[in-house]
Amino acid sequence: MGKTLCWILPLINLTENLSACPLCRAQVAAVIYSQAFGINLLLVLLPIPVLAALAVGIYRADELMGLAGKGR
Amino acid sequence: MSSGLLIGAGLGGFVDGIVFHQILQWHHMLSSMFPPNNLVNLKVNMFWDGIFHSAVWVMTAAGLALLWRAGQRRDVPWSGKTFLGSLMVGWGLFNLVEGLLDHQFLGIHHVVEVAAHQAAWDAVFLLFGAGMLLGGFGFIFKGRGDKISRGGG
Repeated sequence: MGKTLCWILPLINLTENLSACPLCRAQVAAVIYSQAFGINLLLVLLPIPVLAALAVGIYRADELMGLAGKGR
Repeated sequence: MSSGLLIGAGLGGFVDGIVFHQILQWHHMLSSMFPPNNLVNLKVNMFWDGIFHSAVWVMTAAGLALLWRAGQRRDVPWSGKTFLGSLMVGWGLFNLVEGLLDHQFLGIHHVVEVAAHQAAWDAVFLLFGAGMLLGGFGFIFKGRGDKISRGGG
């Protein structure tokens, strides 16, 4: 956890300074990096591991059922 | 198949992002939570769109890596029908998973945020996914008999 924070905090600082226009940069950063950052990240990324798990599951099921013609 | 699934899901993700988020601007990843009716909210949504599309990019790259590995195996038939079917299944799964999770259960955005018939647009999105899924499995079953190895030999 400590090692993760060591690189993620400078990255957040970098993106805060590079992103958004100077007029609203602080406001945008305040909304993005609020206490809800973690939950928002989870909400946004949730479909990806679900899709990856489904892909692996379908592939394994296909292997078991022999539909892919492997080895034929 | 697994490479096709991941690449297909990635294609679905990029079409959603490019067409719906950027060109039509019908929705963004968190547009129900941060309505893009002011500049700050629009930029916040753009950030989270970027995070999501980064993950889609990684998923697509993983699919390409798996495709490369499959191409090096002699026991894997190089079936165009199977690959096309896998791409369609992947795209369909993207629509179904993202549609059910994000639009229905979590409600973090909808296909058209400001539409009068939001549910109808969400339903069309899901139906398209189901259609791609069924069509994709059709192609996969058709490709079962393909025995062409890589290189056509």
